[in-house]
Amino acid sequence: MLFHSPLFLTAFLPLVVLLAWVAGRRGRNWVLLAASLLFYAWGEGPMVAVLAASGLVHHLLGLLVGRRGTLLSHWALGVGVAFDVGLLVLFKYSAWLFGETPDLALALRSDGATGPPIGVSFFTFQALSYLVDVHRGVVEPQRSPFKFALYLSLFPQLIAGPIVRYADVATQIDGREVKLQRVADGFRRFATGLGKKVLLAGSIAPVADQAFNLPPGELGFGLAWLGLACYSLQIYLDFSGYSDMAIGIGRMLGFEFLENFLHPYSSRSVTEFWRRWHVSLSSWFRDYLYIPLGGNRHGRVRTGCHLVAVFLLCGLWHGAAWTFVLWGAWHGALLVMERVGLGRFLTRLPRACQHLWLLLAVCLGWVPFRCESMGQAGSYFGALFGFGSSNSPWTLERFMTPAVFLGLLLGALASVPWVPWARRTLAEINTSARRRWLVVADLSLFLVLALSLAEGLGGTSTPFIYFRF
Amino acid sequence: MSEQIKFEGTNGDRILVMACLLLLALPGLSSLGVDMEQRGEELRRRERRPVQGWQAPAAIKDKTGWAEKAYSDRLGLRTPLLQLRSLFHWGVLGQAPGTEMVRGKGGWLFLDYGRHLDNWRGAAPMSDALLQDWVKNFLIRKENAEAGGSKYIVCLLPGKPSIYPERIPERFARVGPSRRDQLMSALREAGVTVRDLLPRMLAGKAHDSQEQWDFMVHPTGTHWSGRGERVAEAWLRAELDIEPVRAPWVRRKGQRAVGDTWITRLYLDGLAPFSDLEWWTVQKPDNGIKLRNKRHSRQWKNGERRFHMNNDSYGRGIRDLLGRNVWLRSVWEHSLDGGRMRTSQAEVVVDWFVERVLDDLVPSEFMTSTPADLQRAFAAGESSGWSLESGSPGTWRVLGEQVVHQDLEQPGRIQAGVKPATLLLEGLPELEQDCILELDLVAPGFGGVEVGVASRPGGLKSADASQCVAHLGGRRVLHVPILGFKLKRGNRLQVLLDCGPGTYVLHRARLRKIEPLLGLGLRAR
Repeated sequence: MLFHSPLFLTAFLPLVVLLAWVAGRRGRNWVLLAASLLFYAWGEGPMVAVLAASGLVHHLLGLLVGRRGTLLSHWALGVGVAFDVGLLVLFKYSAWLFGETPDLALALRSDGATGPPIGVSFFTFQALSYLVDVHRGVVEPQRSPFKFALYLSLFPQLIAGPIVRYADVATQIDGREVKLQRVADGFRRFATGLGKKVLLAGSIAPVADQAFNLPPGELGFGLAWLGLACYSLQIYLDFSGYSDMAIGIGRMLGFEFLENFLHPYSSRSVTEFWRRWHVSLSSWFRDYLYIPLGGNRHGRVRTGCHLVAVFLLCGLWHGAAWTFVLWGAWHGALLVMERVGLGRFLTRLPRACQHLWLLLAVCLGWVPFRCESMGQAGSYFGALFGFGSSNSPWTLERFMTPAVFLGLLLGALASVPWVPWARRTLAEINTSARRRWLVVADLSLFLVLALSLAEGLGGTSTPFIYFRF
Repeated sequence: MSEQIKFEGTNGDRILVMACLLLLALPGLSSLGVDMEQRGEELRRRERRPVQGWQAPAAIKDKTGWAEKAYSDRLGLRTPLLQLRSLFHWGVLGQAPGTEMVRGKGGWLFLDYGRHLDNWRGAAPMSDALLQDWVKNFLIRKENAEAGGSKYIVCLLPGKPSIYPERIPERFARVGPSRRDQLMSALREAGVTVRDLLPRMLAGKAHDSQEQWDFMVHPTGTHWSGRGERVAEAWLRAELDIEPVRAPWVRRKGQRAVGDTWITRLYLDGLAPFSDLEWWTVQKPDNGIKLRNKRHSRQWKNGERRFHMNNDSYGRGIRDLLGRNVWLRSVWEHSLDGGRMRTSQAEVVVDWFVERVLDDLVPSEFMTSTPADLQRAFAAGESSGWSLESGSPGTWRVLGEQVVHQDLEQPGRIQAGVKPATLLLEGLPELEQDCILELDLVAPGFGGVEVGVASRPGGLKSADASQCVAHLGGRRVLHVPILGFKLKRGNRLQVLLDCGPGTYVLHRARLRKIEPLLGLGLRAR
């Protein structure tokens, strides 16, 4: 069930929100747990058993890890880490590493599907962060298996993040209030995300698909750059739109999830980009891998090695393919370069040049990320730098329809931080004028919600990109 | 730094929450207890409700996708929501509200299924291999037609973009020959007779009337208009030298060409320019003359000229006017059963396909074969354990007779009158894979031998996997493929002997399992 599918929008979401409101403090968690398991089973069928088993195992291990200072605690943490790594290898990396999917994975995936279960990377990282946080004493272990199951399976962020840490929602699971203003904010945020995904990303996705699916010899310079621009915006609008929806639904239900995207394309360096892009993942790698490895405490060379290692794994987290490894290596190398001098050089440049550098560096990185193979990535880079087809029939004009132009324009607008500016401006004008503007904003969001629902009904929307990770 | 938008105002919040909840819940609520049978005609049929098979956990995923489609198709307020979507696409974005439709100039609509427009403009020409497969397909057809004594011609019909390129958006500027142009040249080089209707259709445009919304094609549909069909009919009759049928074309006003406009299906009523068509149709004669032409060779009248036409969806309106002795076969998969071409004994066999078939059909998957291909496949096959030879388990009998014959130590003799005789081959083994039946058969004259699987005990009227091969008369060895059908215990092979009245003599029958076959000349899958 996708967030923009008619079934989710017109049945699941209103029903769950209303039930959670009327169920009262005690019943609320039960409603959400049942809804979350149904949500996952609806999309993944029997794999819900794997999610449930993972929840049970981590709950029990959490209790053992909670006996801090004992050997049992260390052992339990080790077992937990092995379990999570094993789960990922079994479902996600075995075919890549060993050439074939193990019988166990095929048996568990009795539906005949071959890809990893939806969201396995997300809920596994959540579970792992819980065990480590308990081990570090950041949080106390959750005694109730049902509350822990709710944390792990909470449907708004279950299948595409943000990766929520237990410490951030522990108190909210135990008790939370649903306030009208926050619910209204939730709907606003949800409509914003839905519009980003369905109306904006959906309008430019076909161009990106077309550019990246063309045979190597047919891609020309113009379409290569247009396709890259479209994909760069699409992946941002798609993923940040999903995060917006997740945060919005969370607010409707009384949860407050941390921000996952902080206008990353407005950064001025790759280092800054990674503080703003997929924050929950980058901070996860920082806290659970980079810092434990030694971080920047052991000199420049070791720091560089740590960065590259972390980003290689970050690439692999996105998928079992060399293209993702290359993407991770690219970002790791850029971060090292910025640390050893490029960063200082960039700060002396005009701001526009810094933005240009960031956009170029990040967008070029999306080429291997999007391509199916290294060979395809090589051809695409060739086309970007003028070694593609010189008389390709696939020209810019062929694809630059008003809808694509509008999608690019509004998509670019959605990726810059104009909202804080608008808020400041609104705060300066008089109350009645401000109210009028707020009404206009609400009406616009309502229209976006209706249009997105209609678009979902029309059946032209694509699945979320981050589902496959 | 945060992307969160924070608004103030409790009343505004209350109204917003109520409005959003209402918007989201109302479609679902309004479909409760309301029968949505009256849903508008759309691009696809409404999905059935998945009611069975939920028990198997592995099947849940398939069922849920199905259930979502069924739910969406029955959702309340579906029509106004889709109208809103169409208004947004057509009115704001200036495009057709469908990924496979392109909005042309003047409010015209073009179907872009299978990237038809890019193929037409020459941006995605056929590869040499694909082109050669198409040529091979038509050469096999030609061989089959000529084996039956027929002249063979191919008409690759021009579609809407070829006739009205000026209505296509500029971004689809032509850069090379269309796939139709490619194939026509290649077929001519290969010695196949190809006729081109396009010049006549372009000439017909001289009579277009923008004011009366009268064109050679339906501006908001896919097919030729009545006038376009009329031009095609006159052209084809002239090509084949067929006498005109006494049924005049008349113009009718005020009736919308529903069924060949996308306006209603895309919820564009009132948005896109659309005029009630003034269209051409056939005036049915009231003198008792039937216009319907013959659908089966056995109904042909001896002594009259015969034509055999394999056609797809184009030119439906002209079929009634081609004459009583044009045998029409609707060919959707283009997997032609060549035996029928040979059997028809037509003066001319016409392949009448619109260029759009070149977008998404893959000729290497067509089960198009010659008798030599089938003989080769049979020779490479493996015994199924069934035959009508001495000591074999096979039995046979003639439909309508009680006597069951055990084997063919003595050749079996079958008498047929005007009505064809039907032979039943029984005692068949269970077979999971494709097979070929070999018949060593004497027939009294030229005609067809059609073999199908009678899968129900009493159901001889219908046979599955039916294939026809031609018999040239005298003693011949025939090979009939039985493809894509798993033989089960109790199934029988039903052999229709349609080579005229007289005595048929069956000398041998053998059934062999063959490797899974695919495509032109039955090459290995």
